[in-house]
Amino acid sequence: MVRAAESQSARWFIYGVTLSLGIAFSVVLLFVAWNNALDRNRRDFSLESVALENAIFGNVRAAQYALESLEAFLAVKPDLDQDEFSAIARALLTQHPYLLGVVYCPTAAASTPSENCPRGRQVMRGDSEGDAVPGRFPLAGNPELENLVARSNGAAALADPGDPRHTLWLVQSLTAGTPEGASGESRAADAGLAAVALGINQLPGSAGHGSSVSITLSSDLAGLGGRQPLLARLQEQAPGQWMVADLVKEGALQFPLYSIHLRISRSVAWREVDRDLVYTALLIGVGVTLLLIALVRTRDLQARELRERNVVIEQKVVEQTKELALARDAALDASRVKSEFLASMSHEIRTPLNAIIGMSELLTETPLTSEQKKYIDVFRKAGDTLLSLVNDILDLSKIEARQVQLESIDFDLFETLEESADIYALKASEKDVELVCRIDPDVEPVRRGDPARLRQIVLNLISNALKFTERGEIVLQVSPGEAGSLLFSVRDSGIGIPPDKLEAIFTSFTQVDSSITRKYGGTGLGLTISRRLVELMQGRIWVESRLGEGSTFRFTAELPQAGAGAGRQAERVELGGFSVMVVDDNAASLENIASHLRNSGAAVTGAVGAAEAVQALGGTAVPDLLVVDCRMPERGGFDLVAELRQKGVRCRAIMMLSATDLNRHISKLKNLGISAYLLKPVKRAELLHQVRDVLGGQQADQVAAAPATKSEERATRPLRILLVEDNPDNRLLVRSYLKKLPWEVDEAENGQIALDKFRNANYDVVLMDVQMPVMDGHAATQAIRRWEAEGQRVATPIIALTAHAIKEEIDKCMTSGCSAYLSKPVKKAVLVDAIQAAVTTRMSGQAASGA
Amino acid sequence: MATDKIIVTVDPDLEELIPGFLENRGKDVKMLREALAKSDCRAMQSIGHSLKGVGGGYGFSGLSELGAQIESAAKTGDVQGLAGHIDRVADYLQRVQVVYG
Repeated sequence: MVRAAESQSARWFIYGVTLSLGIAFSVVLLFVAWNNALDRNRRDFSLESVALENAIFGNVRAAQYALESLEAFLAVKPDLDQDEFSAIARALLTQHPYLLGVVYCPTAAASTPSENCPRGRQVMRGDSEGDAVPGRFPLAGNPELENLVARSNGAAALADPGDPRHTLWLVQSLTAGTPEGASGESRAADAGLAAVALGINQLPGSAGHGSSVSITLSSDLAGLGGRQPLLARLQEQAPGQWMVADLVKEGALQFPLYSIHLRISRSVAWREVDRDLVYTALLIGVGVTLLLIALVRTRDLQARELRERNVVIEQKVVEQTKELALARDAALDASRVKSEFLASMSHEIRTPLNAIIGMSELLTETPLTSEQKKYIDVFRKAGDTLLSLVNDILDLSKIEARQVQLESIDFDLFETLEESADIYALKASEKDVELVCRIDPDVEPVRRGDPARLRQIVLNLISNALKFTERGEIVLQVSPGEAGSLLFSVRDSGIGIPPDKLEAIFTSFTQVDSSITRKYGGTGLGLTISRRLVELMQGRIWVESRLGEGSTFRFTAELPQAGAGAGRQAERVELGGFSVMVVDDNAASLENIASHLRNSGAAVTGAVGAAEAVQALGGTAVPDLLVVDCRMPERGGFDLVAELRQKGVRCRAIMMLSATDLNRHISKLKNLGISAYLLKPVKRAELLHQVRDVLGGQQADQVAAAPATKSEERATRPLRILLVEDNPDNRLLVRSYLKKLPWEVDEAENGQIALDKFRNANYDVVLMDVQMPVMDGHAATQAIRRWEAEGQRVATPIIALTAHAIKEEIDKCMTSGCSAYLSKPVKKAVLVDAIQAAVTTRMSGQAASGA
Repeated sequence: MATDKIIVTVDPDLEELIPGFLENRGKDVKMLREALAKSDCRAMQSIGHSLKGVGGGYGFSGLSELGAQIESAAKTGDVQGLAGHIDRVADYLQRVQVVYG
């Protein structure tokens, strides 16, 4: 409301200002018009008054001259008799119609003109002729007259207030003697006064006939203060007229000793003014004022309308924002529902599947007839396939729903790739296929990206390659691509892909032909997922292939280099000064090993196959180190070394490469003087370290065993279980359930202790009670998963043990990162099955996913 | 309160654990009584919770129930009810008889 009041007063203010402006304008216009209107009147008046003035003053002047001429005449002839005087006087009177009379009064200089003017001559108009009135001089008794006489040399203009005829006497005192009076005697006796009487009313003459002006005459005598009024005639005014202006003209007639002042004024009546102009001006003024007000009002109304519209718009905006917020919330909800669905589906499906797979595993360990074995095999394979399929579908749907975000962490590219190759090492060697992992030395190892997803792609490709290759080699290679990206390739010597299927295999569920699924297995989704992942890494994936010769899958990915110091730095191994000979039947493998050694400074020679090696070593130059591949088709590594020993070829050290663990052949190795062995596919870091150690003077009888791959390790050692449970009786319970099994059980009372223990040892399975003090199962699981992610470790199965098996609780478990759950109280059989299922899934998951 | 035995069937694998288990439960009752004397509801709630969690696994479902009751009573501070529950637990332990199979 305040706003309204403010705007109200503002509005009034604006209106007021506008009005004032309009009025001011009107006033100015009116003023100008008025002046113009009066102009005519002024002009007329001017003409009139000037004429009048001229007339009056002219006449007065003429009268004065007349007097002076009379004076002159009298000065010449002082003894004038009446008749002569009358004649002159009458002439004067005729000439000057406004003169009322002429008077001459000779007086002795010494005496004042008193009432007696015995010898005065006087002629007045209207008088009978020749009237010499001895006696009274007009104006006798007038003090000024006395002054004049006293001065004996002056003139005056005197009015006789008592005279009803409004007479102005011009009096001149006559000087005695003439200039020519040579004798110089003053004829003082002949001095006197001459005067003419002016009829003031007659002064205006013809010009004064109109009575439209007021005339005021006054005389001013030098030496006398104040003016004597002579005439005041007022303008005739029609009664009831509205007088609007006064026009005035003043003038003065200056004589040596006196002056006559004239004031002519005229009042102008409204009627006489040029009214049209004034009316027009008024009209215009009012018109303009109204116009201004109208303008202001329009603006005002517009502003108001605008304001109202703004209010409406604002309201609309608020509404729409609300709607948008609702829509967004709805969308977020929908998305969340989808993720929850995926998560719970994933859990719901995997749980029974795990049971199926686990059970089938257990079954195979029981005594079975061969028929039963066959059946079990079938449904175990089916279970595995189903699990892979489910995993792939869920993965793909997650990716397609854009629910997958790539990690951005620093990792060691070499390690990731070598690990991936490792996973298939066993299978490759079983198939007698050489698996080589080649990383271009120009490639910086420490990169930023998602190692898990990268591993997924590489594993998929290797698994495919392995599936379709019966002999030969599979080479995984990394080299720098364009503009900082990386180019990966997996080349195999398998059956190849027909050209029309080169694109199609990347689409879902398309295998090269339908018989493939039956023969080779696989879900058909692996390449689709790989393609999506590669796209997420801003790369592309494609295949080149020739039927019967093999295929090369290539993909690019943006994995920027991470700063120095991030991730695990590979120690730089210096092998400068050492000479090495590498013997391998597979050229790719040979080249790979040789390049690693060369990059570390060693002088490397290669021999493809045993025969070449023997030849090369025939000479005297014996290398410091001999690296021999164990399994070579023509002649194996052991045979070669034996032969060389026989021949007396003594290297400082001999290293054996093998796809399978040579643990069982330790004695053989020792006998042949082999210092160390390495597992294929060869890992650069391991190779270099081993070579350095071996050349650094390892004893010949101590055979340095290569660290076994994780999967093989796990196959030979007992299961390690971490039991996390706060209640001691329950811990005892679980332990006793598992006592018959060859598993190690570590205990932790709460989540915190569990986390510490987990970090310091390798466990295969974690049994996690949910409700615990200090740190409960959810928090502990999350912490473990985070720690695993940070170190790029493969996730360990965590089985939640929860007393409340309701959906919310289960969801919470799964979201925290548990792999499975069991509800308490747990039966022994269920527990054991769950543990076994968890472990089996993990191992088969590593090896069986793909295609 | 009847004096008939409460029969509980327990997994034979756990046979060796039962004596220790029952002994621990007796200790629990003692601690419960001490806590009750001090009106320490926190302690009673904790022991009740633990009883609830441990009973089912070994097969003593009745014990679990009693534990749950003790826990909730301790939460609400129902000292009266707690006394009754604790007595019932003691009674249960007295009457229980284990059968393996």
